[in-house]
Amino acid sequence: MFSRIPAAAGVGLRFPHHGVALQPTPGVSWLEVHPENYLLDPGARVHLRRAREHLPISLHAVGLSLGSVAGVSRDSLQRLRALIDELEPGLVSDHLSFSVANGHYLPDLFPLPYTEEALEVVVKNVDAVQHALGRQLLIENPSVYLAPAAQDFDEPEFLAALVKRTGCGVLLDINNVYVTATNTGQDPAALLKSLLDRLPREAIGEIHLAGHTTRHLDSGQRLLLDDHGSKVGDAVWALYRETVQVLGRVPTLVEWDNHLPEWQVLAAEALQADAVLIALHGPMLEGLPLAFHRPVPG
Amino acid sequence: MISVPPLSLPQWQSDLSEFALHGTADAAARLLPHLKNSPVPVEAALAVHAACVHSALRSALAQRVPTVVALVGEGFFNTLAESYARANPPAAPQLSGWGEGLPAFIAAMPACAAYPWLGDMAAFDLALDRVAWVNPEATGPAVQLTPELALVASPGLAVLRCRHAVDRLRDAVAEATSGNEAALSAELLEAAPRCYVLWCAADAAVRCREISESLAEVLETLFLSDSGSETVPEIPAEGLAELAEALVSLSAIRLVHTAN
Repeated sequence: MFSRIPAAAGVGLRFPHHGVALQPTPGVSWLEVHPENYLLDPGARVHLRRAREHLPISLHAVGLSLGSVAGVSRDSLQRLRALIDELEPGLVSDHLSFSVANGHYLPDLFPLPYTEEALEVVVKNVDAVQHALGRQLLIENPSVYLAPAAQDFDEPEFLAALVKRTGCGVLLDINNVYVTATNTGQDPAALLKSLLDRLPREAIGEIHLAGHTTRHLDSGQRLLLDDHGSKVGDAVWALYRETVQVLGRVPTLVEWDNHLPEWQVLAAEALQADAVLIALHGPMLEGLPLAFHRPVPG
Repeated sequence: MISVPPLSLPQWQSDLSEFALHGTADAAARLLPHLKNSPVPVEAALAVHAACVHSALRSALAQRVPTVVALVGEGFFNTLAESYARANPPAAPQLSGWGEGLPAFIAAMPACAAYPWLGDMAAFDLALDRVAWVNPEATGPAVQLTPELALVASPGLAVLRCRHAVDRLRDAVAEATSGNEAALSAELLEAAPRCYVLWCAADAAVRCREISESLAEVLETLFLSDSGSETVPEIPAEGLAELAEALVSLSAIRLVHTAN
């Protein structure tokens, strides 16, 4: 039985917090992990199974390389499927990016040019993954640093086409919206609005919140790095409020990967996300289907 | 005006990956006409990807070989890790298993020639790391001695041969890190061949003991050979005596009654 991820706040679980995550923590209603950290390590999976007994778990992959022209590794899919069968996660996601090329896996989320050619590749790969896993995949919008000179789509159009053609869902990372917009000379609020306008509301199954670093270049420009190593910024919180105002309650994850703070810091940010959800939509009504928590259109 | 032919997706992925890993100028030159400054300069944006890749790979490797990092320092280790990554990039996203070739790479690296113990240290760190991730509840390899009696090894059982006393070196590094720098004496770096057995104990702790060469051979013959034979291999009498002693003193192996 897959655990249902509540339309409330959760946090990304990393190894140093394996122990403390077993304690009930206000604000933390679910956990998310990177499956790649557990696929080879049965010892680590023991911790994950214990955590799963306390809270629903979501799997957020970083290694499927959904945009790769080489396709998705059958071995990776089999391992992921086995972990899914073992943990029964509520949600499974990965990124709109590629990490495998020239026969290597490189630990970065490389951007795709939004072209017809890339769309065909991603559609084929997402179809293959969803078929192999027997479930819907959520695809996360990327943090973009490089701007291809010629593209057939903008990001919202590309994601909307992907959703339409594959039936996948979307993991809307609000920090990525802010980082991408800033790095590519767009207005973050306008990019967010375009995403919310173009994507079917029911397709957005999860939201991510994270911190970024600002680097001031010698040329005078600002470069934002999506490093998940600091607290969620004010501008991102503002975009989050706009998002859930439109979408209603959506499972929301606070995600740290670098400079991991104490568990309580993560929990405090999760509480803050919950406070936004409660302020806009009232307390979560436990047990009701997710759709009941969404505002009625019109 | 010269028009730029469109860049195919396979070429985009190959060039971006090559630039991020190797910093190849040719790859960057092929990418540049297809990118625009908006407003971040293209070179800065490309550098983000290269930095991200190497930072993640350095970090993954450093987690597996912490004693190596402590011995050579972060600066040297970063150079070593980047060289290793360029020569042996990971093939799969499970980075916790990446880096197994590091000891051999160190042995062949001219910059490491002055540190003959470094490859051994890397092998020891990696062996400890492998055992650390073993499921303590798993059953280790077993040999059926008689229909009623089996020798069962602890999960993760491994034998390691080194030319240096890397267990002592590792302990000394830990002491030095805690402030006792005198613990790191030069004699620890001298060649002193050793055999070790490592295993995952029932309390999930990683255990390591120095053992004799003959016991190492017995353990390898019984539990770690690829032959897959279910019959008890022939073991010299000396090895059997040591094995019996090891049964008493090591929790790495135990006798189990299998009859109902």
